[in-house]
Amino acid sequence: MSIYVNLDEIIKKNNITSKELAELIGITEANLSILRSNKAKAIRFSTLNKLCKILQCEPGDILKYIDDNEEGEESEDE
Amino acid sequence: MLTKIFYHFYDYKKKPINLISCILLAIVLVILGLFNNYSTNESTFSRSERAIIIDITLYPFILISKLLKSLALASSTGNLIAIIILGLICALPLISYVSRCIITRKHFSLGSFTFNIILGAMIGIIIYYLINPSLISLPKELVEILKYEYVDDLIKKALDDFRKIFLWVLVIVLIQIIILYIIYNLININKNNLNLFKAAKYFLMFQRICYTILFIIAFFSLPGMFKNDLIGLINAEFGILHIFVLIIIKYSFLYLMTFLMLKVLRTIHDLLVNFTNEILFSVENVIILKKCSRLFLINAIASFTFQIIWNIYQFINKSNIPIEDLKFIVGFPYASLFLTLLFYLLALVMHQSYEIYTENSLTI
Repeated sequence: MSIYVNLDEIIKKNNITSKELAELIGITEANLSILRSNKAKAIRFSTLNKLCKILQCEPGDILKYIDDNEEGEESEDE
Repeated sequence: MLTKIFYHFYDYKKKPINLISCILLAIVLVILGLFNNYSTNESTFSRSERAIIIDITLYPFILISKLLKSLALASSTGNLIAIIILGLICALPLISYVSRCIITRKHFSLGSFTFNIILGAMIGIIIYYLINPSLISLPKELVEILKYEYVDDLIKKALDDFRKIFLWVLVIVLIQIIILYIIYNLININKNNLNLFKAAKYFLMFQRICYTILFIIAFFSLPGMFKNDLIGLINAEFGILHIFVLIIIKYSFLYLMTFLMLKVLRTIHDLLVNFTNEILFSVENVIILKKCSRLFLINAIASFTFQIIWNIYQFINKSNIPIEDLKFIVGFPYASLFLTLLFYLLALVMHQSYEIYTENSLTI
């Protein structure tokens, strides 16, 4: 998938643990882990809303679009 | 109760003791099937299936009635014991129902209570008539009609054995009452609470009954029919070798199809167990449904191949087989093909549902 969840960096910046974040959003730690590891198929607006509010960021900071082909070419160049 | 005993054989791959008991039961059934005297020994090859089916259906009742009759005729004490045993057999469904209600602390249902009384009474009537068959008599009006010549010979022949047919009809009615009771319970559950997982328990019971019946057919009825066909073979004037080959073809395919159906029932058992454990959306269920579809397709192909081989062999050797033993079969396996399609569609629906379920569960 081309959409990537860039939660790890923002969590580090905000100096918050996964457990605390999960509690604040109202999801389980397991689900947060699915989100962080890019295994999630979709994200609800309500979850995104809470994430932006707690982590004080824009949706664009959390979700990133990376073209799979470009990524492949870059890795080949390296 | 009988189906619960058979239930342990489903896991014969898991425990060696289950496999051993399964093989032992199959051997006992084969021996009983071979030693049972069917009333159609005089007939030739493949002409006596109807009479054998009647004999097989009545067989457990005949066994009990023979035992009771010998007890009753032995002495006055034996007679008393026989009456007590007959009473106990009649009360057995009711006793098992009441004990089940007490153990599981379920409420008494008037419907189930009446059903168990009818069940016991019908079993008692069948056994009583088998002990005293002379009690079954034809109505006078029917005897008068039979004197006329226009009555078909076939009906006359059937009425020669009317006592057996009368009892057979009673057994069929008994089986139908049991099936209707299970369906009534199933509908009743769904009326109050539409719950697939609860309904699966009833389907599991159905599946167990079907498995038991098929097991008995495979290891009791088919060997009996095979024996009967071989007896008919001895009476044949010529073409014994060809008739023997035809018998072998017939029974190999019958066993192949019975084996396939047993495998289907075992696979459905796994699916129903998953449902009772409230596992609905899983890859395993999709695989199970696809497997069932495949098995029904193989069954349809086997049935079709059997007809082709059977008819071609008879056509090639028609001059060497007695005319009365020539029997061409033409039939299309609609049921198997319909079930193939149905299970394949169910597998597709289940696959789609599984994908939606996974997507939903991965939506955070």
